[in-house]
Amino acid sequence: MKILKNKFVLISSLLSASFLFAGNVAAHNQVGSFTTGLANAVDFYQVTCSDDGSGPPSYLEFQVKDTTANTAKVEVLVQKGTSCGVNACAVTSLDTIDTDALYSPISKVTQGAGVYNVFVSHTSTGADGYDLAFHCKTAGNVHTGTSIVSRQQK
Amino acid sequence: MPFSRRNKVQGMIIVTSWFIAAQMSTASASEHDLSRETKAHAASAARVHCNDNSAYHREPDPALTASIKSMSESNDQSERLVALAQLSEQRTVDPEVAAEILHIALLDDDPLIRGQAVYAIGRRGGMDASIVLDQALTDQIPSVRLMAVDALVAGDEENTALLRKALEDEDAAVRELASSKLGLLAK
Repeated sequence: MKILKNKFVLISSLLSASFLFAGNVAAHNQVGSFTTGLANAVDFYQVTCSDDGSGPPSYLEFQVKDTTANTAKVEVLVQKGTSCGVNACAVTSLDTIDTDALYSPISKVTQGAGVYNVFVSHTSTGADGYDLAFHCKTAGNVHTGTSIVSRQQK
Repeated sequence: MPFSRRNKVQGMIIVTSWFIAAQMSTASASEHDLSRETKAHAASAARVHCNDNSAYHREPDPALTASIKSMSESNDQSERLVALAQLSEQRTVDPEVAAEILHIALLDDDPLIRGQAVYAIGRRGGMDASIVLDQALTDQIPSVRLMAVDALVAGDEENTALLRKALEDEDAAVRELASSKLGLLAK
């Protein structure tokens, strides 16, 4: 009986821990592909960073994974505002190796709360798919309110 | 002896059978007025045997081969894609295992898997690569045709002929890439 009770406590603790963990690490991914395949194809998204109670947003962190191994490589450009002084208002990240399961280097644009423009493109004509990862974070690197809207699919 | 005379003979038999099967399926398709998709599937149903000559000069890596084989059998599409992507550049995978993986992938219903397999076969080369690429250029899905053109390396007569064929494609991206490759050839 005591063993059963201990098992119940252990399972309950593990379940609670897993729910807490899932709550803290929000997965923000946008999977897509260039429907035309043309060299000038650009997919355009807007990511909104807001305070969801975790704290005011400081920056948008992002990276992209090219999911098709071919000549063309996938790149993401993020831009917000025109205050391009100390903090850059436009930053890119390119996935140069598309034969692995890894993302491009992590990049960030530090422009506070609001709407960030996200452009996903590729370096040449080709059938390219991608997986975009993005997270709005506070100055203390805590994940905060993040949402995305698709504006253009090419 | 990694690439024996017996292997060569086997390869020739397989390619010959493949060619006959492709011809028969094309004739059958035209008789019954099958859709383009059915034709593509019938053509890809033939056996593929990759003779990656450069791979034969290197010792196959058993651990890498096992890892790629395992990924290729995954239920996760992204893992299968990575396995095929690896085959497009890894030369130390056991050629028999690579051929088996690519053969299965060519028959896949998922155009992403099919396209990645076509690209890997084109990149690995071998005596039947141009046949596979030629057949892939008739696939119903533009992204598969695009991957076939992407795998074509301009230079020899056969590839140039395939690129010229792709110039007539109904998809703008396929035409654009073929045109670009032929333009590079002219430089």
